[in-house]
Amino acid sequence: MKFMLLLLFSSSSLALNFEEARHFLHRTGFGASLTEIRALAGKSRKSAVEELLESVRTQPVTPFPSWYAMGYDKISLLSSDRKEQQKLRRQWGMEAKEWWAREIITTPSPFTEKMVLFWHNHFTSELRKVKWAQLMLRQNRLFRENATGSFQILLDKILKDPAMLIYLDVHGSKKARPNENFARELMELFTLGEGNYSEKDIQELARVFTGYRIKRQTAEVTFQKKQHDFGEKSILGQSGKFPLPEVAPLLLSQPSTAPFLVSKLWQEFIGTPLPETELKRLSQLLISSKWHVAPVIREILLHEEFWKEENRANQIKSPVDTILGFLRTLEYHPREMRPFITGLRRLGQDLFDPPSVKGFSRGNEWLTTSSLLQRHQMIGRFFRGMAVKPYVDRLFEQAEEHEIAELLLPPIASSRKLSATGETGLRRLMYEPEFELK
Amino acid sequence: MFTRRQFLKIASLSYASLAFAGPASQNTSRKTLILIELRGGNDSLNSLIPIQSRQYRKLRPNLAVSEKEALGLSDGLALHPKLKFLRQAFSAQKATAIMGLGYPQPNRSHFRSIEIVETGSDSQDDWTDGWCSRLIRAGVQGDVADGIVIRSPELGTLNGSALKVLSLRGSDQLQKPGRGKLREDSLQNPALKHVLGVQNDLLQMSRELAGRVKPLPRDSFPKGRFGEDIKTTCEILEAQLNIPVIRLTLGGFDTHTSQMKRHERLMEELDLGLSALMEFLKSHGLESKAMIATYSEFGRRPQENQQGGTDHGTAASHFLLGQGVPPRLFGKMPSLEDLLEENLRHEITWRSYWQALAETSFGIGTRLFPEFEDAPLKLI
Repeated sequence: MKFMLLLLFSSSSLALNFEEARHFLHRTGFGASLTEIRALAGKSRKSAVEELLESVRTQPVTPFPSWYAMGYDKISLLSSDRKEQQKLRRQWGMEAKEWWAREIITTPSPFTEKMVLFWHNHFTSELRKVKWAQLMLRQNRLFRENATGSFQILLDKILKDPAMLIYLDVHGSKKARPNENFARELMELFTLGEGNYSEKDIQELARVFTGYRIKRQTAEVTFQKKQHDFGEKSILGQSGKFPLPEVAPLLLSQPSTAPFLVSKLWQEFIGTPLPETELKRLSQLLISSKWHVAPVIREILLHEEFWKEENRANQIKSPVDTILGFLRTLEYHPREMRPFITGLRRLGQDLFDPPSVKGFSRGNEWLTTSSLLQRHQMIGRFFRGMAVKPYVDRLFEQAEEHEIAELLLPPIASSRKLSATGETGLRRLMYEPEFELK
Repeated sequence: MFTRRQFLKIASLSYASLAFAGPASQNTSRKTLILIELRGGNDSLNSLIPIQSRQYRKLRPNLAVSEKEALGLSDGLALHPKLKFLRQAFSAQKATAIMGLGYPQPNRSHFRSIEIVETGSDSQDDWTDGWCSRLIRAGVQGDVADGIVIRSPELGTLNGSALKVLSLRGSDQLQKPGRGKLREDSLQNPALKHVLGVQNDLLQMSRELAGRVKPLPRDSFPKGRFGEDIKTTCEILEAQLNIPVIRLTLGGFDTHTSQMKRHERLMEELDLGLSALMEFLKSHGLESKAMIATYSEFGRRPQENQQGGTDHGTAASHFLLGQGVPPRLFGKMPSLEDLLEENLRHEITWRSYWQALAETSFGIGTRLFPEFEDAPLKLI
């Protein structure tokens, strides 16, 4: 036992080298710039993880778009024409996406954005259905304020989140015919995981989510007593009336919920199979820390599995990693975000608009013959204008050639050398198969 | 999306069709549409020139092509002096021009405008699938591939998950994945294995194609990249595979400065390429098998700038080549007097042109853009 402790102590206090710092940043954020890697290298694993967890922000550095705080009834002041209003809403949608992408590339805490994206992918909502960009931003803010905090609080708030209630049809669900959409996804995708509830449980839980409406003008959630089912329900083996505040505790009391969330976090940061004993240990930790996720993330990031050489660069980059991560790597803050939003959509990760309630693709799904061609297209596009040139030049001033190869590609490609300098050299590295990995 | 299994299925299907039916059984009226992107925004006013316009000379004191040198056509129009082959093709009724191609509320960003043109969207739309992806619904499909993009890393008009598209020499890396350089133990990495697998699928498609096309001698084609790409195109055409669309790119048209010489070189390069392509088709009895159309994200501003160049513009003329092209020009040369924010007003939308090209090349009757009411354009 003493020996084990010593071992643990020694590995977590070892100074990180370039490779390890790069790995840590790629997994806990998006890409990694030379500045970030150099600042982290030399620190111990433990302090890297602690600093990361402390870096979490609850407020974005990028100001919200001007219309964010505007009431919905105010749109009629901007235009009385319905078509014009629609156009305006679409434009706001695009601006919301640009806002988030900009936050991802400029924030001093990419880990916060990693977690916000994690929650967006967990508690999915689609702008194309919700239609009001304000509500998507409000939801994004909710994720931000609870990025590494209590899952219980986040869950409780998501049960009253206007975007979510519109997205999964709670809005307008009535006593006479409760809509089962939210009840089903709430158990299947958000808490218990598939197979841990019955169809009857869904029907019963759906009765709880009746009588709620979103007020068109203010986007407030209102409660219509007449449409709510106040009767006795029997959900997951428990009976009661289950007013809204009792729903989250009920779902969290189920034995499959903690392992479900723990597995998802492990997949996000490590990606190798999670041993049963570890699953148990981390699930207990999640429950004993009152559903705060930070302690679990700490354990995952300090885990030997996270640092093992063979487990590095064994994930396919998501489009956000590929595009926005590359902007972070270059420390390039483009004036126009729109081309990058289009790029993200082409590669299949349209922020605020996941393809379905299951969220975005994951793992190897990200890369198909057509998406690989698309990724290569993006590289071509990226260098098409001259705007990026100064950033590429700066990189070559900052670093030796071998460092640039190590910055762009994971160490499995360490035998690769830059065959050219400047843009051409950089570009060639980006076509290497290892560039798709993080 | 295009999985390995799908690919194998397609590959075996196409083998079968070759073995039992052969290319002769294909719809004989169907041609291959060869799209040539003039990347950067060709200065169409100096390609198809309103040579007698005084306003043209006024707007372009330094860049106007002289009437003496220009290759005259009818209706006060002329071709750039370097478009010699094209001029002959006009006489031989193998070439024509479509004037005033554009779209309302023009966007002057290269990036956005090419997207609008290639997808056929409206200016404010945010589409990603190229217009060729609509051909699938109209029943136009290929065997090995629905389309081939030569050299350019961008799929452009052939973008879209429904399409089987091959990018030939799209990037050197696809051709040479350089696996030999990887460390042995790296193949333990499941993600890297996946990437290499996907790359191999793509490679296999290109090999499939490579197995059926015969290389042609390099020196019978013009020098340079475009000449090389024309050679590749001819090799594919000669194999008579059923491939509906081939897309080529000739770059360098973003002539903000010192345009005179640069544009001259580009016109020559284009003309030599077109000449080689058409001559090849003629000498191989394939003239009825292909249509060639140029396009660009936009034209350039009528008023030349202070650096001897022209800035981003809007509507433009483009060329169409092929056997049986009607002996008249289409559309209308936009007025140089009645500009909109210093730029030309469009006469024909890209959507109408894409529709007309699809009708002419593939004999389809289906409307590719049923959600729009563009004025129809009948080419033949």
